[in-house]
Amino acid sequence: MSVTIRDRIRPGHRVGTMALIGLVIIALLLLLAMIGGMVLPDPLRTHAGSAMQPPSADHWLGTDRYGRDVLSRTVAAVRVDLFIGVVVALLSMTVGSLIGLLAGYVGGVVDEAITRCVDVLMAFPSFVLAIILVAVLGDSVPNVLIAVTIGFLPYFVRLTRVEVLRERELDYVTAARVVGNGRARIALRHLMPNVVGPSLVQATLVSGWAILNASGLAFLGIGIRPPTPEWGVMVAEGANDIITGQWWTSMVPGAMILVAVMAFHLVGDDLRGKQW
Amino acid sequence: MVARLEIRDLTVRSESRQQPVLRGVSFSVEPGQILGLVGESGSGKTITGLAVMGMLPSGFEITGGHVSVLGREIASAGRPSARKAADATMVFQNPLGALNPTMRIGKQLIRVLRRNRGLAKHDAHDAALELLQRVGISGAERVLASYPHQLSGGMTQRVMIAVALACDSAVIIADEPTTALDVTVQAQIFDLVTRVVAENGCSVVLVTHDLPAVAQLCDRVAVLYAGQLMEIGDAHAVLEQPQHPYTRFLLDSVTKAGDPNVVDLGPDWSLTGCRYAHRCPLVHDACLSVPDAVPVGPRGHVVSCVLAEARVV
Repeated sequence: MSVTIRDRIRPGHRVGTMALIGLVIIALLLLLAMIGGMVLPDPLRTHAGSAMQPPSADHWLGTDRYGRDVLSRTVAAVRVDLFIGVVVALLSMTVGSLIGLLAGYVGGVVDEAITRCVDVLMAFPSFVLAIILVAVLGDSVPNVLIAVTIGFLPYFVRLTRVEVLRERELDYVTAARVVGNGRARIALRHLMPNVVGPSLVQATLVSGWAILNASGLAFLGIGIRPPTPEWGVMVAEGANDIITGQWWTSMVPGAMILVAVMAFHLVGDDLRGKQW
Repeated sequence: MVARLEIRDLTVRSESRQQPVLRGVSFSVEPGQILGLVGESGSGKTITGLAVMGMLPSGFEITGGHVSVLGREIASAGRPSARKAADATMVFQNPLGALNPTMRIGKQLIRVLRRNRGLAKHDAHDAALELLQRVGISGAERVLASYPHQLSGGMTQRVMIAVALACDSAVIIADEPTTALDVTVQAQIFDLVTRVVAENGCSVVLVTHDLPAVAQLCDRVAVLYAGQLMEIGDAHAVLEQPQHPYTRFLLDSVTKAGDPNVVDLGPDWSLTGCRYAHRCPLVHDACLSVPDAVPVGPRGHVVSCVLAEARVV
């Protein structure tokens, strides 16, 4: 017996504790970004006289080598990094799902061509692929977003393609054709809403990875540049200071990357565990 | 008179079996008539329906014959289907699976009405309500706002019939519309089908295993075995005086359920002659060739059996 709709849609499905923790962290980060912009000192203002100060009452998380407040830079970076995460996830999900839908529904040569291209993309680790793409496209923030997005496309293409292959054999798709719907309409209005579930889950996980990749690129000096407050940039700037004992300039933004990526993954992991 | 649905020598081949899964099937259904299409599982009943719809699964293709509705050809070998929703629609076996799970009933029904009747949104809503009432749904407004999984099986099948009616098709193919429903609901759905035919004057092909239902509802019966039309005729003639050995066997199997003497051999698709030959108690040498359709009684009672040709049945 096939899986019925009742099995697939569970009314009142509960959000797990871990996912809740993840959501709370994301909410706190956003709140921090909002309040921080209003009360904290300018993240770009340098002050040569108070460079490299350890955490104190004036500068809760110390200052960096240009005398900028680490706390306000870390908080300002929330906006940049979450923006990257969400934009990359949405972009790669939208584009990837549409390509996957095309491959799965049209089939034949189109499917074959798309699948092979995706295989080629998947042969590279997404981070390395992003470096290559930025090298080709040119070094700018939009290009970094595009490069990171392309790195995550294959997951969505494959996921959606497989879902479509399964779903398109179901009676309601045939029934939709029987009553006279066109192919494009069936694909977008009937199939898409029924196959998008797993991609949404994947998108939450990708948000985390995207932050990691973008700040990784920034650490390597690609894409987002100093003095933009961004975690990867800050870690890169402060990396040398660890040796001389000034841990706060790199450890604080590093820890933030960890927390943000973890928060998205907690949510994604919980959703992934659900039946779709 | 032009028959509403006319199928002539329809032959469908399956790539995987390398055999025709339908071999020269011919029948027609007049307006206001219900034709019962019976036969065991895998005999080609559903394939016949899908061929009419132009929706054969991949690996199946029409290699001969044609299907026409109201004199217009809608399916033939090597040509894309010319069927429109106004020609023929289908009611599926599993009604819940035939509705989009992520779309409200109203949206699905109204969309069909707007498309096929060219109605404005508001008029389509009223038409949808009226259709649901016609198929015996009370609280139609609530049903329109529901998702398919919130309705019962009988309710969803009524909705599917409403969707078919919304197309104003000349022909409705009902593929085992009651198999997934419980017995009391089955009777209601059969009543509904009879009523719809009487009201609309459309032609219905009722694919079913339910022989008592066929006796009650259908004007004519066509018996399929292994893709070959064995016998067709008026329901009471075929059911009361079956002329084909297979029809007799099929009718006997109803009363003899559980009888150890009834062995299920299953069809032999490689037989080039009569496909029933290896099971037929009256098999004989002439059965190696494909039997012709022989008229054996009044009102289009036709049997495909060499014995009928020799008038020895």
